[in-house]
Amino acid sequence: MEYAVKTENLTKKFGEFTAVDGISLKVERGEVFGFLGPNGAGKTTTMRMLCTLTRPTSGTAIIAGFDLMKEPNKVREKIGLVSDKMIMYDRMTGWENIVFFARLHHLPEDIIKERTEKLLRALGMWEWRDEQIQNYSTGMRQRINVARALVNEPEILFLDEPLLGLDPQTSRVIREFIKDLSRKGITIILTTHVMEEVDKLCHRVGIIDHGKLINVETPDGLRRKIEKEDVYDIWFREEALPNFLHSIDAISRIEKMNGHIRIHGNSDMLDEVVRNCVKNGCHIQKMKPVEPTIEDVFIALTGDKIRDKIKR
Amino acid sequence: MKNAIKDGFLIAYKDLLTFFRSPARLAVFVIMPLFMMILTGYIFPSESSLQNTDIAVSNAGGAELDSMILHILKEDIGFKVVNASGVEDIKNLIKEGKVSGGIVIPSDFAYNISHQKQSHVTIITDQTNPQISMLLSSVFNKLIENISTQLAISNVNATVGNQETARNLVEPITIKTEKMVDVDPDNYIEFMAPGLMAMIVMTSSMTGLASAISREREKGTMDGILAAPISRFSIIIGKSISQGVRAFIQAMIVLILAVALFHVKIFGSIGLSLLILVIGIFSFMGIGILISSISKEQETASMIMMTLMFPMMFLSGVFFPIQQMPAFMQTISKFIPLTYMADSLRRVMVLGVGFGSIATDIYIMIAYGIIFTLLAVPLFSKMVNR
Repeated sequence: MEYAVKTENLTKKFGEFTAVDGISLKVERGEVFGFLGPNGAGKTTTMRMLCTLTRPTSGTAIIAGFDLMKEPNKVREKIGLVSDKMIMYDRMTGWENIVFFARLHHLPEDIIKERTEKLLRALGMWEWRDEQIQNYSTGMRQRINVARALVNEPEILFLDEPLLGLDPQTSRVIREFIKDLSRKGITIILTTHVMEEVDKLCHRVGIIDHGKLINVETPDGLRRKIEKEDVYDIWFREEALPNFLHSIDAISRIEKMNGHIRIHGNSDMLDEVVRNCVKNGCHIQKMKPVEPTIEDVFIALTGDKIRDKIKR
Repeated sequence: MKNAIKDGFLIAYKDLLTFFRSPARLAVFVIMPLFMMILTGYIFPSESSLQNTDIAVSNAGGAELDSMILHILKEDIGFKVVNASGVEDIKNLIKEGKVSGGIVIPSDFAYNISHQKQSHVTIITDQTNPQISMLLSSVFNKLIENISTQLAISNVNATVGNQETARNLVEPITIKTEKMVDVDPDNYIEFMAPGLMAMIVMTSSMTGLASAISREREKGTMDGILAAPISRFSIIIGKSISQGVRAFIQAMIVLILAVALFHVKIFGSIGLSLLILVIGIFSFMGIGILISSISKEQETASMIMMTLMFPMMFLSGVFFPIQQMPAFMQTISKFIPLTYMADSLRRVMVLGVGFGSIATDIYIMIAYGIIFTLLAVPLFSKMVNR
């Protein structure tokens, strides 16, 4: 099958500094793929290479069926880009911005008008189409940014930190919009810091660190990788911490949380807790398993040190 | 190629649209040529600008001839006269900044003249202010010379008894100056306007181009343009057109101001002047793109621009004649496109020459534009693909 993105040893060097180090990756059509990594890990440089904005130092990439190096303009026709810097002109209206970028894609005028209207309506921006961008809120700008990226009906949409700095309402609109696009068969490639986004959106996650792709997994698969013990949060009706918990061998660690406790241990732990509770006349109000977050996975895989490097 | 030009126009239209919607940028755009015009219109000293200049006069005699000189200085020229006593006193007044120069008429001035002896007048000017000093001494010299001639004529007349013969004996040669154009020699702006237009076109197109490109890169909007399936050349075309249009409008503002405020007359073909403007703009574009391609951000670009533009302004002959410069500077001025633009504009607008006389200037400017654009395009592509 043909992949939406297929790279082979994609490398970018800035002088001595290797920003991206031999990334080989396959992303299927219709997939939502997330790049996760600390700042300066090479996520953005990778995205910029895939979007034809930065020329790779070595390696190859086929994007939407076209060779990135040989036919960049063919690639550009098939992709859309939403970057953290919003691509729009403050002194132009929402409508004018989208039409301008649509014209750069050499679309016929009637199609441009039709699509711009469709996108503005879908993102709830139709009402504000004739206002200049400078009067928009961040959330409104981001919706125009997304509409602009979609005006050429791309096969692949690249999103660099799409939900950065947005309020929960706008985040939700954009997230639902992205899911909807994915259902329509558009491949989505995004970068993010926000673990929640990955969990809610991505089919697969690629973890980048020091310019290398160190792991590609589903969010669940990643979670399983570090799930060495069970974790539960328990709320007791009694205020005091029941003493018997300390005598259960299956429990390896007890954490006092705000109004409840968190226990870590092996698979026998839950059974033991319930049995002891009944025996001691203790009441469990609520109990719920704690799933490791992608953040935990991320820290486990890349370490918790902040690494600053100088790009030359 | 057709698409590349079409895309270029799209980008230019977008640039101009956002520009004309920005009141702050628009205000600077209009005020800049206005300032330049008014500054150069009034700043350069002329003899009429000596009106109300403070001078000191030391006049110990007080004879009729002395009062006549004083009258000419005060009423005919318009100096503000301060009384002083002797050379040292005038020197002190100049040091204190109270006067710009002075003249000493000794007590035996009129007596000596009426007794066939030579009289002496001392002129003192402030050399630390060379332009005023030069003007003052020329005015003083002229005045004393005239009086001297008149006295000589009346003395000779007393002997020969014929005014005409007396004049011919005293002044055997007279000079008639034939002007190239019929303008007021004091109206400096007449000669400056074309050079000013050229200079404003240069600063506007070069800085405008560099900042337009850097601004889009820093804001990230350049990524949007670069991620579209268009030629890199379209961006250069677009930016050049939008900056060119702006520079052209500014040149028109200068021209209109020159005509309206300073009554400048245009003697040559307006069409040819406009053609020179357009070609001049083209000759600066390549340099502008080149500089924005090698500088990482807006600030660096404007710094390089400034460093380049200052010598260009001063060595191009807009303000100071190239012929006065030392040889190595004259050589440098030959490599500055502004030199050719200012020269051809001045000759067409003030001297009224036709295309034939400025063809070389035009070809050199076109060559500049082509060479620098060819150099800039690959650098620009490299910069945006970084």
